[in-house]
Amino acid sequence: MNLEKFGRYREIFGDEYDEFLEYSARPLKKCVRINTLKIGVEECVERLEKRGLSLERLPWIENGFRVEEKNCLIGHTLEHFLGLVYVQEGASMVPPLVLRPEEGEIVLDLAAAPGSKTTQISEMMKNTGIVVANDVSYKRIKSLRSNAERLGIVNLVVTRLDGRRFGRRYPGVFDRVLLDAPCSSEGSVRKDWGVLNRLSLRLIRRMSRLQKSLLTSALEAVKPGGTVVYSTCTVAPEENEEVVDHAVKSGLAAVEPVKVPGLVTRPGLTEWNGRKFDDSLERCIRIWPQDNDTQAFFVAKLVRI
Amino acid sequence: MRFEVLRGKKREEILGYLQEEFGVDPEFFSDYCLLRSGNRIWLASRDICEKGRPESFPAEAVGLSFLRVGKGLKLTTSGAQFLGSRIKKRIMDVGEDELARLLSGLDLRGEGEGYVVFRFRGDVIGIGRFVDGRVKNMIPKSRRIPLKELSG
Repeated sequence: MNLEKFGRYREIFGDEYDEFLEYSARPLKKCVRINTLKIGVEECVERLEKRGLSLERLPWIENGFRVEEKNCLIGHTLEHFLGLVYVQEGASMVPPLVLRPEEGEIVLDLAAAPGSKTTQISEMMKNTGIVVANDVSYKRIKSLRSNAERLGIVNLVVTRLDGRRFGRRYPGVFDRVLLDAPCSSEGSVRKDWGVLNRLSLRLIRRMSRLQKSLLTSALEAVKPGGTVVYSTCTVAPEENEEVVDHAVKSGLAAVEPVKVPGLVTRPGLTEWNGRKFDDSLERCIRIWPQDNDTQAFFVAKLVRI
Repeated sequence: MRFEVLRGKKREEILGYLQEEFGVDPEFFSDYCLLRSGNRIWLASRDICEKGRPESFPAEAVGLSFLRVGKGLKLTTSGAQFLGSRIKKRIMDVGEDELARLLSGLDLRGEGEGYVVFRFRGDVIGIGRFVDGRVKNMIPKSRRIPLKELSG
């Protein structure tokens, strides 16, 4: 286990560093989101419990549950086949909650595949309006499409464009934009140990550059006054606060406070490695594995100036 | 891909087929629009056609892949599941053993003509077609669950 790669974050976690490492080494229990487009929450829970699964509701989302898989795999149940449930990490359900899309709106998910958050957004909009789901990879789009079809999503338009150019091509079109950015995925270590082998400072820097141009594109695509939510599943400040700071300093956006009742969060950093960020960056949230027993996540809510 | 929004007669033709074959009330579609690209018909939210100008958007997919156009029309598995209890005709109720066969990609025995909708305890599972004394299972390979792995 290469957990020593996290040593650079010792200062961020302070006294809790060991606890952070301990949680990062623990495998993650699966979570599911019940697809309320197809079934009521209670009815679905009842059906899954009859199969011998035990479910525990996540405090921050009504239709999200942690699942104890005893001798039954959720992915192999009739309920999964029918699109009544979707396997999605608990922290990954947070960005759409912060985005708060409404019925009838036009929403963009700029880096959408495989579609966990996209289908959650569609569900929150009750299958109305338009959700444009963009991704650059053909293979990943295939899995996005099959997930959306299984869940019975009809308000989706799937595109395969370079996300960095999307905003220039469709400026000021969208009511809201989610950018769940490609990242070094440090926070996913509990699901995939391979993450640590691929992790390097070079990767972090490369991702940071890509994320800055994707976030600029997202801010160009949203209407003036519209909301952009930026999220990653990484701990690295270069891919989180530094990216949002770049957007704030370029004069495109202001940071808004993020509140998710039921979820334990930490404020964003205003300084890293001797580099000072805008004070408003503390309004972002950091989700740490030891706080909610999830993967690590970062979420920022921006409003287009 | 180019998408054409189906209006007027082209739309009525599809709704007529679904009413005739499967007993789906055309009223159900008042919140939805239909589009065509190549040999595929898509079901989408009304807003996509009214606000989205899908004809001019470089889309890979719009809404839900609903029907295939060949010699005739063929409802997709996702399309049948989406319609669910609105399907009133051509229903074949299956038991547990048959369900397991269907989910793992095997065919069923049966005599008849045309398409049939498999239903298990009220849930629409997918579509089959009568061919030579059997019901050919049309559930896509990507969605099957191997028999030995079926849970519950």
